[in-house]
Amino acid sequence: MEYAELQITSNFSFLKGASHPEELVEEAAKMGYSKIAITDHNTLAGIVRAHAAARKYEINIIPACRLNLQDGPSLLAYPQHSSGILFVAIPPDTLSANFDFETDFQNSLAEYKHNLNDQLYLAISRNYQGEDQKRMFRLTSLANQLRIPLVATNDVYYHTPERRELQDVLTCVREKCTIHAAGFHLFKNAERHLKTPEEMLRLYRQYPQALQNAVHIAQTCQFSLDSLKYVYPEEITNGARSPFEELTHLAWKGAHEIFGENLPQKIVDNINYELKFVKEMEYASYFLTVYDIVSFARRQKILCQGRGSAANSTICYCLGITSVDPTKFDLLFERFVSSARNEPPDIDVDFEHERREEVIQYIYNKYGRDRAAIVATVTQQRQKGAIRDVGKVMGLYVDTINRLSASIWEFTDEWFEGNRLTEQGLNPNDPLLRKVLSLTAQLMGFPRQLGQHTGGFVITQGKLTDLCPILNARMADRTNIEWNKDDIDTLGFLKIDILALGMLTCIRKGFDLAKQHYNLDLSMAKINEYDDPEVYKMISHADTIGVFQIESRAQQSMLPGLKPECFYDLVIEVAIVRPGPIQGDMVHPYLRRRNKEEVIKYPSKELEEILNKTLGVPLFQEQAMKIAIVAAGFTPTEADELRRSMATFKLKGMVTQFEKKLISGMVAKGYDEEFAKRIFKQLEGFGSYGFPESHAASFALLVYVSCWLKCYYPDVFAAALLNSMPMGFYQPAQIVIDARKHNVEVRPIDINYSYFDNTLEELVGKYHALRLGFRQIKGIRTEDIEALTTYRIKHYQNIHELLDVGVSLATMERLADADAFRSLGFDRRQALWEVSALADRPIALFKDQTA
Amino acid sequence: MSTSEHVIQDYASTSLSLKAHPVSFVREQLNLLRVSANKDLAEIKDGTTLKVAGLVLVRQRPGTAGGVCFIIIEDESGFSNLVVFESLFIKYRKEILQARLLMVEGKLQREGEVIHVIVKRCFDLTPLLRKLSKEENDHSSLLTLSRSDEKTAPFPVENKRTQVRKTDQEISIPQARNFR
Repeated sequence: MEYAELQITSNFSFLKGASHPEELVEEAAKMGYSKIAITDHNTLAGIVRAHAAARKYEINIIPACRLNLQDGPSLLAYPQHSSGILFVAIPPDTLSANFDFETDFQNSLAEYKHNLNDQLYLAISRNYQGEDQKRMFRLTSLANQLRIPLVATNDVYYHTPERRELQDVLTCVREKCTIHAAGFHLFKNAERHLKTPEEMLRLYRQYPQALQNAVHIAQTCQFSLDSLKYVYPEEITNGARSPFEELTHLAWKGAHEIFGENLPQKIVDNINYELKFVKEMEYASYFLTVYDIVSFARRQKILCQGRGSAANSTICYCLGITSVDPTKFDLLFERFVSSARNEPPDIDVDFEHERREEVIQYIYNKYGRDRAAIVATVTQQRQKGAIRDVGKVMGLYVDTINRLSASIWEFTDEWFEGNRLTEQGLNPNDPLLRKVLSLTAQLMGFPRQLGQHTGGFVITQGKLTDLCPILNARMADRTNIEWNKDDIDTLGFLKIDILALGMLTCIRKGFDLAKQHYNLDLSMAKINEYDDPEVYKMISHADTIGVFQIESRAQQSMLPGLKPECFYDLVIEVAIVRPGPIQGDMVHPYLRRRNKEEVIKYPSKELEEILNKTLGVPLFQEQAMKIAIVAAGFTPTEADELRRSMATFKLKGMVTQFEKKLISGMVAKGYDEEFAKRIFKQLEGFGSYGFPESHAASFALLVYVSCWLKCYYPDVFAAALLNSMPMGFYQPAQIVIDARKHNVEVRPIDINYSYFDNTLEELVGKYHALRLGFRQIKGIRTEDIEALTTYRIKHYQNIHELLDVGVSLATMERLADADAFRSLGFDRRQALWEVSALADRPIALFKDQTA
Repeated sequence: MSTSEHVIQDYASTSLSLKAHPVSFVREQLNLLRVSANKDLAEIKDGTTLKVAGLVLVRQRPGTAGGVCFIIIEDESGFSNLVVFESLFIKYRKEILQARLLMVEGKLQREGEVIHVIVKRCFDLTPLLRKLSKEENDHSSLLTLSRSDEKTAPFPVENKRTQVRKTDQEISIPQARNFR
C-alpha cells in the first residue's frame, strides 16, 4: 500500500458531498486503492452503503466520520478495533495576516494533544492557492513543535473532477444563493476530487512521512462492519422457562384454544416441524418478541394482523400473530424462513394506523430507548425537487421552473426532454437549459434528508449503541437509528416492522359504530366464518368503492370477469391484478379457464395438486417453489433459493444453473423436456412478481370484512371510512356520492349537529343518516372545534354564542366558509357577513355564566 | 349566491358538495357539444364513437402495458373509465395532466359489464368551471371591510388574517391523483 485516502465526504453529508458512497468506492477501487475512509460530516448514515460497495469492488473501507465540533477545530475519527479511536485534526484553510495559523487554532491543537496524545494526528492537504507552500511549512513546524504526526489527505468531495459543477450547485443550495452571487462560498478550484495514489505520491513528495502516516492509520484501523454481531433480546420469559420452551408452550396452548382438545393432524405435524427448525436456528426469542407486541395490541383492543410470508407459519397462527388458517391453506414454511438464508425471518405486522403510536410507545417503554429504536429512511431527490433546486441556483425564472416541474409525472422515470419541453414553451437546445438539466440529472437520487421510517424497529439485547449509530428522534425520549431498512438488512440485524394499515382503523371504527347504532358485536373472525353470496354478488358487480384492495380501476375492471364466489377467489383476485401477472400473461388464461372457454390439462397428478386451485396457472411464489420440490426434486431450501434468485436471474447469471437443475429434475421424474422447458419459462417470467399466497390470503381476509360491512351497513362503512381518511384510492367526495347511491342520507356539516368525526344520526329508511363532521373542513383540527362541541348543551341560537364559548374567529370563518350555519338560518354569505361583524364585538366578559 | 357558486365554495372548503355536482351546471353546454352522460354509456352499443366529459379523479400509468394511461372521470351521473394509448398520451399530455374538467372523444368498448372509452381526442374544458363562480371576488371585499364606514381602497387590501383561502379558482376542484 502506497497511500490511503482518509478524508472523503460523500453525499450523505447533505449539500456538501457531490458523489454517492458507491461511486467513490468504485472509483477508488479502479484507481488501485486498497483502502480508503469515508468521513461524512457528523453522520454515519452512508457507511453501510459504502461497506456493501466495498465488498462488491474488493476494496476495504474504514467506517470513519468527520466530527464538526461547536467549540473547537474539526476532527476526523477512525475506529481501530472494537475500541480505540485515532483522530486527525483539520487545520483552517488559510493562514492569518502574519502567515501563521490563528492562535486559537494553535491553542486548541495543543489542548487536543494534551488529551489525546498518541491518538492525534494533523491533516496536511493542498488547497492549490498561492499559499500552499507557506501553509504546509507552518503545518510542519506546528507538527514538530507539538510533536503531532502529519497525515496527507486530499479532502475529497467528489469522485471525478466533472462533479465539481454539481458540488458548486450544492454549495449554493446550502448557502441559499444563486451561482452568480456565490462568490467565495465556492471552492476555488476543482481539485477536491479523488486522486490516484501515484498522484498523491507526487504531490507530497516533500512530505513522505505524511504519506506513510496515512498508510499507518489505514493499517492500524482494522475495524469492519462485518464484525457487528446482532443478539436477540432475551428477557421475554418469566425466568422459569427458556425462550424455546416458552415458545413451545405458547404454540400448543394457542393451538388448543383455536382447535380444541383434538388437534388436526396437519396442525400437529406443522407445529412439530416448525419447532424443530426454530430450535435449530435459535429463533425462539424473535417469535416471542413479536408475540409480546401483538399481545399488547390485542389487550388494548387494537386491531392487528401479520402480513407477508410470516402467514406461512402455523406457529404464528397459533400465537395469534397471523390469521391464515393452516387447515384451509397449504402453507409453505420454507417461504417464510429457511436455513439456506442465514438471516432472521421477517415478520411484518399491520396495526390500525391511528393507534399504532400506542404500540410504538409500548416498545419504547418496555425496552427503553437505549435498546429499541426506529430505523431511518432516506428521502431522495426526485425530478421535481431537483429541478427546483438546480433551477433556482442557476437563476432560472420562477415561471420556467414551475413549468418544468409541472411537466413531469411524479414518481416515474420520465425526464425533461423533447416534447415535454417544447409544449411548455421552452427551447430544448438552449445552452442554459441544457446545463440545468444535465446538473439535475446528476442530482437525481441524491439523499436529501434523513427521516424516520414508517415503523421498522431494531430491538437489541445489549445496548443499541454497541451496534449502530443513533440520533434523537423528533419526539421526546425516543431514539432513531441513522441507518435505513436496507442497511439493516445488509448487516443482518433483526428488524420488526410495526406497520400502519388504514383499513384496520376503518374496520375497527366500523365495528364500534355498528355496536353503537345497531347493537352488533362484530369481529373479523366471526365475519370470516362464512362466505356470504350477497357479499360476493356485490363484489362481482364491481361495487367496491372504498373497500380494501379491490377498489382500484384495474380491480374493478377485472371483477365482473372473474366473478368471485368464495374466499379463495378473493385471494386470487388480490394476487392476480398486479403488473406482474398481467404482464406475464397469467390473467387471460386464468379467466378463460374459469369461464370454461379453455380446457385445463395437467401433465401429472402432483402438478394438478399444486396448480388446480389456480386452474393450472402458477400465480403464487409458493406454487413455484412446490413445483420445484415436487416435480423436479428440489429440497425446500433449494426451492427457496430458486424463488429468491428468480427475481435477479439475469443479473446474477444463474439462469443456466437453475434451468439445468429444474429441467433435468423434471425429466428424471418422467416429465417430457418440452414441458419442463415451458414450466421454467413461466417461472422465470413471473419470478419477481409472484405474490406469496400467505400474503394474499392475509389481505383477502380484510377485503372480505370490508366488503361485508359495505354490503350490509353502508352507513357504518361510509362513516368509518371517512373518519379514517386519508387512505384508499378515492377521495371523500366519491365515498359520499357512493353512500348516497346506496340509499344513505348524507347530511351537511352543521354547527348544531356535527361533531369532529362523521357520525350516524337516526334511522332514515333502512340505514342511519350520515352527518358529515367538522374534520371534512380544510384547516380544522380537533382542538379548534372542541369548545364548540363540548359546550353545545342545547342548540346554539346565534353566532355570538360560539364566540362566547371560545371558538376562535379563524375557525368561525372556516365554518362559515363551509356553509355550516344553516341551522341558524344563515347561508354561507350571510354567515361570513356575521362573522366579520363579530370581529368588532368586545370579548365576552362573563363567558362561563349563563346568559 | 347561486347554487353553482355554493357548490364551488363547498369544494373549496371541504372538497365535496351535497348540493349538486359541479359538472351538472355545465351540462347544457355539454349537451350542445353532444357529450354523453357517463351513466348513459351502459346503453350505448359497443364500438360507437362518442364524447364524455367529467372531473378528472385518477390518472394511472402502470408502467407495464406499453405506456397506456388510464383515467377516471366523474360527472353528476357517475364515472367512466378512459384508456389513452401512448401515442395519444404524448399528443395530449398537457390536457391530460392539467385539466380539471376533461372532455374526450373516443370509441366505446364493452366487455360484459366493464365499459371503457378508448380515447382519440382530448379537450381541456376547465375554463367552463371558472365561469361558475365569477362573483367569488366579492367575498374578499366583504371580509376586508371590517367597518361599514370604511372606504374601499383603490387596491383591495388583503387582510391575511381573514383570508380563508386563495381566491384562485384553480384550487377549488381538488387535483386528480396520479398512480402508477
